[in-house]
Amino acid sequence: MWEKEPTLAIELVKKAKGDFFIGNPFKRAHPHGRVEVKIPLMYNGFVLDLIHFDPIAWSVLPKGIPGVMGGSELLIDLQKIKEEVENSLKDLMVLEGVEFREPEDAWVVPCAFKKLIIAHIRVSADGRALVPDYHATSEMRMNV
Amino acid sequence: MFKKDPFLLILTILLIIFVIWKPSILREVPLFIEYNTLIVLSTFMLITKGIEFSGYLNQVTDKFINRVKTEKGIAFSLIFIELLISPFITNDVSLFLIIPITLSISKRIDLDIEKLIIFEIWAANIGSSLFPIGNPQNIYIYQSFSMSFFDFVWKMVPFEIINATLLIIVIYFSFKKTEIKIKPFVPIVKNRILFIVSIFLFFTSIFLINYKFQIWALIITGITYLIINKRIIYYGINLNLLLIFVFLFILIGGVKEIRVIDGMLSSIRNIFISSILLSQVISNVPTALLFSHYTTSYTQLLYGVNVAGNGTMISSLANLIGIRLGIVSIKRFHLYSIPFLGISTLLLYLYIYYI
Repeated sequence: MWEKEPTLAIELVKKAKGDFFIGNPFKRAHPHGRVEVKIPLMYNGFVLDLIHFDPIAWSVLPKGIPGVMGGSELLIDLQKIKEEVENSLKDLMVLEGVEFREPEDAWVVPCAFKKLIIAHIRVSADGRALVPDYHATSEMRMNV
Repeated sequence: MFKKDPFLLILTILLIIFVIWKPSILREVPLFIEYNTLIVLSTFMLITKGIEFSGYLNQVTDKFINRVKTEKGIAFSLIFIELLISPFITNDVSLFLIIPITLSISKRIDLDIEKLIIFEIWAANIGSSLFPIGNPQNIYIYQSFSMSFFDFVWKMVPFEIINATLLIIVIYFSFKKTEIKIKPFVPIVKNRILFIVSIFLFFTSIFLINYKFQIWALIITGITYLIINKRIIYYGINLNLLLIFVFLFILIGGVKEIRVIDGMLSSIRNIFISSILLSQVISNVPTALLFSHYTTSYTQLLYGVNVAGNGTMISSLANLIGIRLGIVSIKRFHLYSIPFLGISTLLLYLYIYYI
């Protein structure tokens, strides 16, 4: 009973993955020294999710850790970070499992890079269409 | 807010300097602000977001792109879509939609993507000129000169034909007929109710604004989205743009009370050429706001500020968005846009003064 839509959702993300691309990254400094670097993971005009990056350890961050302490905002080279994440994109893995989020009425397919889940891709309840992250899309546009 | 919007920052600094120099301006601030323009702008910001978030524009784009088989075909399709959607959803929003699609296509085929994005920016500026709601300067002129929606569109049809034809000729000679194969995009989720309601609100608002019920257009639009999709309210209103308008109203209201500047501006004879030149330096929205007080010929002003958008990178906000989003070289942008502006200015000049 719970197989058809999750399978469709995973297959859909796998099919779309080849056309994912990276938008222009942006940064945000919080009080008390936490710095967030956000990189839009995009598809067909919309942001699907924001990937977070650690500019000190020079690696993507797992979901749940959006920023790091102590990074100097001024020294962050966003163009280099974009190139780094673009290069990593080919190794992005679509995981064989989903969760359902009732408020969004969507399946969430996790995507991982080097054992870290770095993005959640939303797929409609019937498993046939990608659901953009409208909040992230607006955030990205504000930072163009 | 200021960090993300240098234009707003510059305006704020100018306004502070102006208020220190002429504190009496503060008393007149409420009189300078044109509330109906802000109301109409807010109404269409919401409707635009509703249409965009419905996902139907992506479907239209996918249908076009899936049918083409050549490089030239791709360029024509994207430009045609841009010309088609920008009058409804504004030039900058249409670029936010089309440029990422172009970037994503460029991953699959070998194409001069920078050149195509420059043409898309032009198409956004040209297409958005057709409707009063296509860009901020049009909304202002439409309100300020109390034009009817159809009068406005009728005035802009020749502008649209001349510029779109010129753009089509440029594209025809810029791309090859090389065969390409593009695999179809995975669909983006669609919201049929949101789309239908947004289209209904679009026409209802045009009707209400035509009969000077601007505030009702905003109330009906706001309440409808509050009921069917609250996110539209949250994401739809661009506060920065509204603030830019408020600051511009105050600054321009103050500036024209300075006798020397008022005298200089009153002596301008050719609003079409003057508005093109000034837009290259201070952008087309402030130029439209400033010159609207010094002319009764709205056709010249409309043509001037709209064609000006395809000039320097600061002549239109959409240019800046397009350049940053598509990572276009500023040098190359100007190498293409300045000659294009020259030719389209000449053609429009001939149309205005000799036809």
